[in-house]
Amino acid sequence: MANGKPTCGPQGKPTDDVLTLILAILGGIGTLASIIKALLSGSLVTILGITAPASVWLAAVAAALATEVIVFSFYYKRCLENPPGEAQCSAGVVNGIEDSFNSAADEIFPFTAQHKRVDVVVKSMYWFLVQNLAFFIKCAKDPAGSPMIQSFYETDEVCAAGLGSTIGGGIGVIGGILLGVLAGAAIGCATIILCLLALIVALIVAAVTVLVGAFLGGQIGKAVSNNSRPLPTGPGNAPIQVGDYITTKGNLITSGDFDGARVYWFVTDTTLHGRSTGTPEFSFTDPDTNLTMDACPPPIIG
Amino acid sequence: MKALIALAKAVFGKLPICSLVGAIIGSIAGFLFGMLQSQAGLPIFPMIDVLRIGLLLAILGWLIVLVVVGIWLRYGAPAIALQALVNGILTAVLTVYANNLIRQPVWATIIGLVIGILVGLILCWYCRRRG
Repeated sequence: MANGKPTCGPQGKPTDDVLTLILAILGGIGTLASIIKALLSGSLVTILGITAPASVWLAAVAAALATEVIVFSFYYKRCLENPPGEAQCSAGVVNGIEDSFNSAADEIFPFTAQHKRVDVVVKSMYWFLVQNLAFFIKCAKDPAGSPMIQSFYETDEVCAAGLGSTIGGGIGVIGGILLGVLAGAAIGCATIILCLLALIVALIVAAVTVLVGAFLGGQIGKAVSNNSRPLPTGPGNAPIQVGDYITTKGNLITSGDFDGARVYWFVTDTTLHGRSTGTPEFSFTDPDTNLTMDACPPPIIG
Repeated sequence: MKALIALAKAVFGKLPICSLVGAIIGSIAGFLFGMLQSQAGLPIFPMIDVLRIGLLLAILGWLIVLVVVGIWLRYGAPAIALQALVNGILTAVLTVYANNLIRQPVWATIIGLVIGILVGLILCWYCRRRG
């Protein structure tokens, strides 16, 4: 158990799992396309009656495939990965709630939408959960910098949108390649700069077409999903609100997607204990004083 | 996918964000320049073309980073715009310059990726020194 308050911020390991994955995808597909280009003998390639420089074909194929794999990787990280963690329990006061699809970017790129998140300023007796195995300590913006645990609630809409985007993007791959090649071929390789523009246009058109497919598929997926798992409710059917005292149980992991902070992915059980009279940003002294009895089993000492 | 995630973490997991951004820009610049080289029959480009091509690829890489890192990964496009632009220009121009010297298009993407990592490391170190 921690003796003092954990220091807020990074704890020495700067990383982002999705960003490293995207880099590996770009590096891998780019190198593979370069090897294929080296193996091709002619400079012009004709497929389905479309003749274009081989590099333009490969730029379009690489861009379409990389975009689709990146879309799928978001879906995988959000809904399929199932990272191993520890079954844990903690309690505190809700300092903030972040809903899914709460920005224009989430609507345009539905595969990037995140599960519903509840930020809980935890009682000091649970600081060890925030600190142990953490590479980042998230804190509230109160003067004391009270440690928080971000608690994610699995959201069906997010997974449906991710699956829809992956399918829509997959359908868009073929169209993206053909449209990209047509656009690149129209510019041609008469001069060096024109050839570079042809490659860039083929790449952009292919990637954007896949993203359009991902947008359409994601919106369809989101629309047909029934959001069957809203945030838990308290007495009187009011959903969790900022200022509620809650106990959360679930799978606690160190998340590379959240700077290496300890997060619940996902919360499996929530208990509400009433409301604070204070307002955000909350200090840990509030639940320490007012939430003496929570729903976690007493810690085993010795 | 699990293996790819583990590989990505093992290879790039210790790098700072500046290097990851630089590597993304470098790999895109390297890939496109390698394609251009092999399509054009491996010419040696004059310095003025290296600069022009480098700047064009820097703008493309910068825009991609703003979308991927700024919007998709929620770092905020305005928050990273200037740093990513400086990173992009240095990385893309150096990538084109190096690949123009080496003339091995098969390795162009990897060369760009490595240059991006190094430029990012230097920029991160410089920013930390300035506080």
